[in-house]
Amino acid sequence: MARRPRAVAVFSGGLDSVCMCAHLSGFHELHGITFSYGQRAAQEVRAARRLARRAGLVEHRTVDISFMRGLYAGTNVLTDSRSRLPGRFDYSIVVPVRNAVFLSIASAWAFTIGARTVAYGAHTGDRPYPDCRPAFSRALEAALNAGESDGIRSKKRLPIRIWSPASEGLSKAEMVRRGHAAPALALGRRRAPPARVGVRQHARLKERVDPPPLAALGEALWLFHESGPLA
Amino acid sequence: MRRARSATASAPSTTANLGSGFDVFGMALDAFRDTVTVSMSASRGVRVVADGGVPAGARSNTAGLVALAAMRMAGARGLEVRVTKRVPVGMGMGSSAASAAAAAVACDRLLSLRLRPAGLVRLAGTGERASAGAVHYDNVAAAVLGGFVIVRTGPLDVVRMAPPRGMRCCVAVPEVAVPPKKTAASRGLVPRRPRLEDATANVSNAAALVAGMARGDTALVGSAMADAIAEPPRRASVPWLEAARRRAVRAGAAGVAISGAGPSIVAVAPAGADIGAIGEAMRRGLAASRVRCRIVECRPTARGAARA
Repeated sequence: MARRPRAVAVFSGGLDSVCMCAHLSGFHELHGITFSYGQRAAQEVRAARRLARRAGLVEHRTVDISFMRGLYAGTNVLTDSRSRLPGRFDYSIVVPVRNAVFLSIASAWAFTIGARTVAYGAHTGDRPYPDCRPAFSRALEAALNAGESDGIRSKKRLPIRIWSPASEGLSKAEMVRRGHAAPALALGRRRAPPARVGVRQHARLKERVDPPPLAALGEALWLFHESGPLA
Repeated sequence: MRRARSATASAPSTTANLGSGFDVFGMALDAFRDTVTVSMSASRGVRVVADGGVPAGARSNTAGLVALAAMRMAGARGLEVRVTKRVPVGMGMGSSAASAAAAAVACDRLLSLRLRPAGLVRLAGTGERASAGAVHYDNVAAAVLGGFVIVRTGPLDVVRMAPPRGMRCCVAVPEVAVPPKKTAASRGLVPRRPRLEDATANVSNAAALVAGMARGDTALVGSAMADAIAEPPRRASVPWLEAARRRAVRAGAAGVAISGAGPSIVAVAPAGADIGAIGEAMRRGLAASRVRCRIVECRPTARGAARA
């Protein structure tokens, strides 16, 4: 029997990566990787461990790269505990090329286990972060494949592609909707009650999944516009 | 102002039926585009200059038939039609429809017919008679309008929708000899009077497929491609279908169906699916029947027939 295609996903345990993984695990053998990079939100790593199975990962690894905290010093507030978190988007929450670091390590794993897809949860709403834009992931994908070009040519390695919801023009809402529909999460459709922590997490998930009435109205209008009779 | 002497348009490859929507569903694919240039000619009638093994007589070529019909509508004297074929011929990717749709848009521009979308679909449909023997609008409507289309007949009406964002498609084009008038022959296999249970199954699947398109749910679209009417009698002429489907679904495809009248088969897959792995799975499925194929990875396209 043919194997499902393998994929490596950068998995933070947050809403975006949980939904992305739940969606992708429907048609991939999904291997998740979580980075402990000295971030303030250490609970992120604990959440990732707890949610890995529910998100459909067949394997989950946590990688300690907390030395990055020392290198990043005071460039950003996510790894520097002395400064305060801003109330809304500010460049101080951008960790320098964070996704380049994550994706490079994830890709090294992908080349090793023969995974052709390396996924991360950037969506169209992440535009303020340059390393969440499709132009960046395309360039990094080309660079990494160039770094294994001889291995790829001699068929010792499989070329990778870096995939993100943003690369398909998918928004956070669209990704959450897909994650919600995915068999891995199957909210409210499970026979066995999920673990206590899982319930809390999913209660929170569910709140954000049910689309607000305004968005539903917008969608209906769009459909009406798109499918109106021609004649 | 002097009137233009020529106009050029291109139109995309398409896949028809998507399983449950026999003669009803069509979807434009960005894999290939046919280009048609129509020019005013001093000599009477329509002259067709074609490449790629398409019949060059005006009456046996889809683009030529469209030009003839447009010429009659506009009362023009003579036209020259130049067809550049890129859509593989006779493989179930809407080759004749792409030429017809491009010709319709080119003629509309050159002769200032100012047709509305439904009129363009009807004009392009006159070309389909050349290859299919009768007019079916599923391919032409998708080639003219782009996106996913639902064709209603009596009277003709086309409902257009956007396929789910990020949806991917993979077409396996087998390297087999195709009999002439393939579409007519393939249609002959389909029962004129399907069983009620089969009709019910198809209506339910077709309805679910449209819901999947509306909701952006490719998994639902794929599972609703199951066809109880046209596929069973056609399986004998597409013997690799089951093996290819099983493998493709395992590799991440949401559904697999015969593309139009075949012999190509089409897989649809959700955003993020490993389309390379799905193509490889389909190739192996066909190889099990000792058939080699060309794998075409593509996406649905919103761009229908348009000036090139």
